[in-house]
Amino acid sequence: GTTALEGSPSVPCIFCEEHFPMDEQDKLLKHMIIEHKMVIADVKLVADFQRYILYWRKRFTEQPITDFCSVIRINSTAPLEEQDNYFLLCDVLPEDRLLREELQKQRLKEILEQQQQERNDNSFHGICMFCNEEFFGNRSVLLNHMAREHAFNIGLPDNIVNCNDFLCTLQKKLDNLQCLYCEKTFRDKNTLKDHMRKKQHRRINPKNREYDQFYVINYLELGKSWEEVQLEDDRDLLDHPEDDWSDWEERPDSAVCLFCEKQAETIEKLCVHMEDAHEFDLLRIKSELGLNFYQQVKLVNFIRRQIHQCRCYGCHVKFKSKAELRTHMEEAKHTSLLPERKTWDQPEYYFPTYENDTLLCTLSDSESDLTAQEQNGNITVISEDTSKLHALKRSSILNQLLLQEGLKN
Amino acid sequence: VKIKSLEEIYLFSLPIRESEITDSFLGASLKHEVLKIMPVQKQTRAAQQTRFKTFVATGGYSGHISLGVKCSKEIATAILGAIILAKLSIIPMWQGYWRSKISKPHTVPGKETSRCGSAQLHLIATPRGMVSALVPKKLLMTIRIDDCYISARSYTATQGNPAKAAFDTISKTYSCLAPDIWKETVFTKSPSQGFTDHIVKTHTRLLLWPPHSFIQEK
Repeated sequence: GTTALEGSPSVPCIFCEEHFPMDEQDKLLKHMIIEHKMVIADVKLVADFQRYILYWRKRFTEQPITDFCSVIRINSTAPLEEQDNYFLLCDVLPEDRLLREELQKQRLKEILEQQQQERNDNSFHGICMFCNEEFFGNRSVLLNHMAREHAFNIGLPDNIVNCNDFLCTLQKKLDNLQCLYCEKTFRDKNTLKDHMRKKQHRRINPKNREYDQFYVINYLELGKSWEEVQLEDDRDLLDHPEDDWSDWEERPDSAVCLFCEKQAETIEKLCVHMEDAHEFDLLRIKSELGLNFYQQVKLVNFIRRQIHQCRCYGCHVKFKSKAELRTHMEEAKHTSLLPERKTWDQPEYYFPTYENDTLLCTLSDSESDLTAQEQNGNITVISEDTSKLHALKRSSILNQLLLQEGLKN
Repeated sequence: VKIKSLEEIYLFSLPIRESEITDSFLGASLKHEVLKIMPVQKQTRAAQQTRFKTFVATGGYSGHISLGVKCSKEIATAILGAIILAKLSIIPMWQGYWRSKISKPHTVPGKETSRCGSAQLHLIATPRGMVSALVPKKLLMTIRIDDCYISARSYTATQGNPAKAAFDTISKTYSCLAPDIWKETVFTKSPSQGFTDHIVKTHTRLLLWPPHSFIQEK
């Protein structure tokens, strides 16, 4: 091994300063067995080798190795000088098992994010491996084409991840004149094409583990291949009914302060901040002016617009930067100097100044406000006609069924 | 026997038993949006297994909307399964106009509130502009509601389920209107007659008389 090279990803030994390239795991493992007498169990099942090694490298400096590893005695029947001890790191140790599970969860999360990105990406561009036709849009367009027109099916798009890499891998094989199914090599392109067509080898070899990384099912669980997962009988599952939504919880988006960049997770925290840092009490303004939901929205959008334009709404002076504006407003105490209502209570301020302005999502009003705004007169919300519903009911053929039910009873 | 529209099915409290029924009425106008895919642990007698759980929103210009959730070993299977379930529990959303009836309705009819777990959601009509957290926004956009304020209050650190809260709120828009229509329905199957699945929960909440006793307290 060598010391770490600048810029190239490498993994250090758990015990010493030797580094090995990321894609030469076996060299590092061999080094650790020979030089340090340590073995890692099921190392191929570790989801993130580098993080795993780095974690234990740190822990081994904190506590003796025997706290973590079991000791394996070699040649125990031989004379003492020929005996040797090896250390085994494996998931019998709860901390190790937890670490492996955490790395696995993390990797699955990353894979799902990648898959989602590919599902929503409409800037894909690819060329069919068989007819050279070009395809734009989503990767499913190309996959569906090859399945439909060339009977070449590598799987449903939603079950595949890193689709571009997958297609490149397959294209490379074909460029090397290798059959995708039996993996024999042929002397030229036409011979290969004929072979794949005649032998019905327009498929990929299911036993080739190289393709596992492209199917999301292989990331489901540590060490379980897709064949094992498919064999599992889901009728044995005992769990709560599927329409349980409770395990999907979203962290709330942060709301941004009206005057500075500070973010807070709840409206209460944000209001406290705005009061403390900028002497702006949103709740007091709301109750003093008797603002309903719509009016609060307009006020917030108004303030956002003024701040965005670096203008103080108290004295109308424009500043060169937001920082200067902020200093001015704090010193002159103009944050609480709201202009008269008709300045900001305008229809134009219904439109959000910023997209995804979480602060707007957390405004609230009391239940009585709905009637208040109806009385106000200048807000009209009309709902769809219900008269057509009445007509539909009267004319429906189901009325005949009704009568029959009545007769039955 | 020719039923002309999905609305007749709602008006007579019939559950939708097959997704093809929804297809035949709404067909091409239905769009699907995958809201989330997440790994979940499922228990068997022997061990714990990981599966993919997908949440899908279905809806369209016709003004119908639904949510579906399904677990499976493979993502594609879970998505398809969720879509089918969504089609079985599709409901109409009563839409609204701001100020005047120009072209299609584009917002919600007034103000509706619903609570799901620790999340409380208000759907509020607006003239223009969608203001909302991402998930409820996606939900409303599947039925081409472009303009709505969605205000959410959390009472605990986690937000609970925003999609479900949004969906529950939407489903109330229908039941709050024209209660007299539901009065005329004589044909009411009681929930105990084997209607145990989610689709019936949705429909009977909307349609059984008297409607006000089934509406969640605001």
